[in-house]
Amino acid sequence: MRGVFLVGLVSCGWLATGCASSVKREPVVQFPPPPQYPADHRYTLDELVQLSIYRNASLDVARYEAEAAQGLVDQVKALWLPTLRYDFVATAFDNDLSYRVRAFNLATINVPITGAYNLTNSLALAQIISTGGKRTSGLKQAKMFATIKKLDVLRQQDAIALDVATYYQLVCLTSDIDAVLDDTLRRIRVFRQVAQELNQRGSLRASQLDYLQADFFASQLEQLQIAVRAGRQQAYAALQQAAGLNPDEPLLLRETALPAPLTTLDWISASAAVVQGFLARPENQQVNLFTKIREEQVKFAKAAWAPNIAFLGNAVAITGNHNTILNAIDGLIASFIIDVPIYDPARRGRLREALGLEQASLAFQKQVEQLITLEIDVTALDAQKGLATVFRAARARQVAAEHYDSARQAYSRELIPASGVVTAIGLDALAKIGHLQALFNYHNARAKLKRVTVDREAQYGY
Amino acid sequence: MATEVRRRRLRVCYRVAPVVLTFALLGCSQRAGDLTAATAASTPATDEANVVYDTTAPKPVPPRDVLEEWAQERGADLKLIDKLVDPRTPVPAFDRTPLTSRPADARISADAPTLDDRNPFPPPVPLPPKEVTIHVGIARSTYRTREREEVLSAAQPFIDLTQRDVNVRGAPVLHDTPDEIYYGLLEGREQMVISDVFDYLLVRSWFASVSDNAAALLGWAAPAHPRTTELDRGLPGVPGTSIELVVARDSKYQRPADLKGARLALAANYVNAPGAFLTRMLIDLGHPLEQPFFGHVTLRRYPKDAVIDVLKGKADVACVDQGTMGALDRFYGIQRHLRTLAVSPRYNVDVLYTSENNIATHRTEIELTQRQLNTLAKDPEGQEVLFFFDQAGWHNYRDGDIAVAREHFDDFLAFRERTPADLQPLLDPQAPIDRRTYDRFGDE
Repeated sequence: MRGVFLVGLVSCGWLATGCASSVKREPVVQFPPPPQYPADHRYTLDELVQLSIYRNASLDVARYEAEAAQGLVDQVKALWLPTLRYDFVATAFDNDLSYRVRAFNLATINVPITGAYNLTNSLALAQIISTGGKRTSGLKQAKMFATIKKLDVLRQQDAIALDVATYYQLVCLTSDIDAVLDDTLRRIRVFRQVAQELNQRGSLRASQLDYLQADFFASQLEQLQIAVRAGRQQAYAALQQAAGLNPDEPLLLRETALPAPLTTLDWISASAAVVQGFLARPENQQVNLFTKIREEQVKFAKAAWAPNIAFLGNAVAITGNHNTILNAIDGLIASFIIDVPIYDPARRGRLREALGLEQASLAFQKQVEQLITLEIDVTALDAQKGLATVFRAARARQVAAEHYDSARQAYSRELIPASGVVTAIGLDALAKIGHLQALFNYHNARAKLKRVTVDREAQYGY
Repeated sequence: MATEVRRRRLRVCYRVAPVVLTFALLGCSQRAGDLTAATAASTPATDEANVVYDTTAPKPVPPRDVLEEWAQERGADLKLIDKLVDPRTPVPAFDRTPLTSRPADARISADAPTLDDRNPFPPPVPLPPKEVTIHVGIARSTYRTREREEVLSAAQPFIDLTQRDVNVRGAPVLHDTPDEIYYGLLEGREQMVISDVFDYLLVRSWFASVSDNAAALLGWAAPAHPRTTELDRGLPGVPGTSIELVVARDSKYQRPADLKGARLALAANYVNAPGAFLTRMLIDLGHPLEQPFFGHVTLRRYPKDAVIDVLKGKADVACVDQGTMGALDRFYGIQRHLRTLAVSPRYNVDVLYTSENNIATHRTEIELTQRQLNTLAKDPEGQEVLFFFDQAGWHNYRDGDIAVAREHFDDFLAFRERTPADLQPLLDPQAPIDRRTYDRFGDE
């Protein structure tokens, strides 16, 4: 009973220490409340990106995995705390396990070691006192691993934001192209109808070739329109998924048109983007921590030569029938263990392995850093290319529009045949689609740049 | 004591042995039945009725030794455990339900619907047949140099558009003269007419003598590419609706009076505005109308040919509309080779009108058709229809819109009633027309 009391006292001490430490209140970190929108809300791209942070299931997977990693940290931290166990054992024997004692070599006496049954109650306390650095190294590794998992939430968040932006922009692009195709189709159908009417009336002003040309063009446009409309629906469904919405949940977009071209003030510095992205990329921070873990594993492997010191305390109470001897070991047992590894050649192998992996991680870090730099560099150039192309494409669109208007005017004054106008309509549509494609490429490159430079604060603005 | 212990042990053995034996037998009896399943991996089944094909099952792997065979057969012990625990530990069945699909009325945005679930890409729906409820007259004075077939064909998309949008089916009727327009409206054979403004004013003057009836102006058309010159910049009226007298830039002609004896080229069937303009000019010059003023008058198939004739030196002066001059200048940049000698007032305007008897019988159709005409410029089909006639759009008539034409209506009447000798071919359907035309490279 004395032992039990002692163990209880130690436990209370530990608990008190824990309570005392909680006096210094840490800020409570919790998931922010989700944005609330009415069912008929018309979402902007920025709102959808925000929504995806709350609703996307992959992010929840990453968050809970990060939380699981925190559990791992707690497991390692628990190595500094004692373990306290209570055991109850009920034992029955069909033999009384008597020990024959030959007393004074004269008579044999059966001394019963135990009775037919025994009930054992024990309380065990274990406390690791020192591991020669292994425990500290393990905790460092676990914490770094937990941080890597937390950074992974951010990495995925950035990737999902890019997905949302890309799908949104694809919906806009396909809607814009659909509008162009619809407009062109309606114009071409007028030409087709007029050519057919002329042909049916026997006029020499149009031939069957004019009708067939217009009809062929219309049918090509119809095919393209089907593909574009299907693409829009697919992009919309993907957008819903990326934002974390189910198909039956309403998702009404505020705009389905790509925003207007940008100004020349919008030029991007590729070198500034590389610096910004390099410092902010979660992947860079993750790989850096990964390298540090490998470094720590070398220390861990070296610590295998250090002794482990632990304290064990046991309080045992055995009750039964006729257990004359076992009753005698009732009470408190205190053990102090020093475990010194003297010869274990596997430790050298483990250290060699850790050293190799440390160097591999350093090389891997270099490789990742180079790849990230390359990615940012390439994406920044893409954005610059996109912006420059938008201006050229806008000019081409303007030229094609003027060409079309000029062709219409020329045809109305008998300066060119109808086929000239059909060609002009085609060029006009082509230039419009080209411009939209360039606009999409630019916006998408900007979204990618936002992702690769981790510019989470910047708004898409549409 | 030891004997007692041995006896007890034997008793326990006797009790346990049957249980173990039963288990073993159970295992063996199971073996025969389960052998098929257990060895399915190693030998192909022969009892077809007892075979369930499952592509997730492993392909047969022949055991290489006893241990592998034992592992594959699993043994009686494991089979016994199977028997005991498998019924209590079934793999839960898939109990999820599919996500609810998108509602049929779901929209991507206010102006973009989602595709239909069953028929996402329906073919265009043809217009259903519909009885014609309104006839619209189109006068030669408005389609001018175009062929009849061209006008009828170009009007067809507009007719379809009107049916599609306002469910009114119309039919075009072509007229060569104002008389046909007048009787068409008066007798209710046509409900609306599009013509040159001078034709309208003439028909209106005829309606003035009919009791309880009158012509009613509904709207007017604005030209698509209005051209203005220094000479007409400050003139009242709709820009781009003048007629120009054009000469070569380096020619000797400085005033209209200088054109006496010059070779005139003008388009056949482009009658009213050029006729009124040239008649006024001759009257202003004090030239007797019954005597020729020009040395030679050529009627060309298209107005552009009249202008290119001046460029090519085949004519000294061309009398053409500003739309033609604008198109030629934009297409060829010919302004540097030509000079506008004179321009008419801005009265080369096309108008839409009806009559009171038709308003009484077809008010709804007239209003809907007029509204459709006014909104033509807003949709692609409408724009294409308008551009056949080089028009930008139609507008509702308001007081003063055709004031210039009213002011110069007398010139038109003079042209019709006292037609100058030079212009008589314009009104003569049998007059010879030079139908040769220049191609887009300016070659004849």
